[in-house]
Amino acid sequence: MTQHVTLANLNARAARRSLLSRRQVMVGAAGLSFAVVLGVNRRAAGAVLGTEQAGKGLSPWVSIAGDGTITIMSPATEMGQGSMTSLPLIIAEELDADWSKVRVVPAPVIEAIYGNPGFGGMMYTAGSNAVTSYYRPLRMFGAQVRRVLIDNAAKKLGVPAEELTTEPSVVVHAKSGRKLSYGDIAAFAEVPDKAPEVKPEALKKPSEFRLIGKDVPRVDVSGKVNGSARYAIDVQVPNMLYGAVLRAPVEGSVPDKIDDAKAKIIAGPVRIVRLPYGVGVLADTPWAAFEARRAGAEPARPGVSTAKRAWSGLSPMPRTPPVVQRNGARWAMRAVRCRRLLPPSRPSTAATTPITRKWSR
Amino acid sequence: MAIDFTVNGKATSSEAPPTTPLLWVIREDLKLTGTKFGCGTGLCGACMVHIDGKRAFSCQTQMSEMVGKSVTTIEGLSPDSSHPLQKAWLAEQVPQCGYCQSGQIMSAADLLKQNPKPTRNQIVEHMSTNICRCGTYQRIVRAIERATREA
Repeated sequence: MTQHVTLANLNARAARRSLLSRRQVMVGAAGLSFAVVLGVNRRAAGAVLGTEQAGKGLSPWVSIAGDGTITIMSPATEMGQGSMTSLPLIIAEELDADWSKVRVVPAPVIEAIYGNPGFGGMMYTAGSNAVTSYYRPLRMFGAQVRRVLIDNAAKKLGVPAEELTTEPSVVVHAKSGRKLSYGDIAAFAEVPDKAPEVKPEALKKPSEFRLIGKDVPRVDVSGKVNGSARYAIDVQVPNMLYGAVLRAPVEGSVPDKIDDAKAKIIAGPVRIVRLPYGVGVLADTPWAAFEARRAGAEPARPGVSTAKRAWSGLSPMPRTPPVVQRNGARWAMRAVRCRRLLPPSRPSTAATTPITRKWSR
Repeated sequence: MAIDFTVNGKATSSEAPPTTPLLWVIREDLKLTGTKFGCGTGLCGACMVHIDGKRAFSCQTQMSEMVGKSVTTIEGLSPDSSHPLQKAWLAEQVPQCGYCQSGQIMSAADLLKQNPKPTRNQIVEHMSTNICRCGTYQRIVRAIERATREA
């Protein structure tokens, strides 16, 4: 089921500060909806991101299916440090979810909802920052969903919400011994327009943690041992082109003249793009793009090992060439505009060298 | 000219130019993207597959050499991730980013086929064809040692 979350008039900071009024996030004026975002991105991102949630959406972060499967959004990029496990785990902790029934999906790119508070609300993963920055808000989001489940169970059982507690994925009424699973509750749950208020002191005490601080296997590892994990390079869309860049042989040089005749003979239809720092080649397949890139250097000779030909493109750097001929492009030297990083070499002594000095560009 | 070969037990035919590396046919045409492009020059091992039962750099193998050959990729190593190495890789939580791990596992599978009880030095020597930028080498060795015990 695709959730419809309207983003109009929401900025990341407001969404963050309110922690979150569900009404603010999920309902708004006109504008872009979650469904539209998914629709637009479906071809590009849909292939790699299984962002659709299964079951009833109880918040932009959590949906629960009748069979008890809990789908939790992971807002950060998994680069091997475990964000895809640890961030949903924080939600699961306060939600009191049965971790074995949790399915993690990458969140769609909606910074107003999923942005990293530590990076001004951007969906940006870097600097060992994800758990630190998301820790408080995610606990709150998890606790709010738990509260929604408890409130619905209270209504169903006809008991005060205060008498209800939770065990992993189950709401318990100890007095009467009755229990309702999260999956059962989700089936009839009414989701309030506004996220219920949960006071910070109502969050779990560390001694009550069932998941945080425990050794939990990472959710991304199974896909990484059978080839099913999808990386950016694995995304394929219809009619997509592949690019390769022939970089300047000398820093600061730009292509003066580009001869793409050989590239086209060898690699078929290719498009050449002039770049400020090199020559771009676009082709139908990655291999055609690579072939075209080096086509100018020497004609392709069937039977020559690919490795050798790749290396032949790396000619030694000329000392001071006014013009360099390489790979079908004629490179003209241009004044080097980059900032000088090293001081000019000249003898210095302790007496003449100040401890700090500024280097002009 | 079509090139007939076998991939993960299935008869396959490719119309790719004969100089195309096997890697790109596997990834782009057959959509088996578990095999990765790393360096393209046979130095990193991310593209490792088995050809007729032996490991090979798929980026260094032209399609013209593939006539009648049989390829196994990471997707074909076992039908359900049950190869002893895959189980050991999970138990040891080997991968970080995971990009090189398909190639690592294919190299390791080649080792165990030749030598079911390798010494640590033999493991390190054999696995030197594969590079891991995350530096999971210690876990890789532990996982291979575990697989030799539990296989």
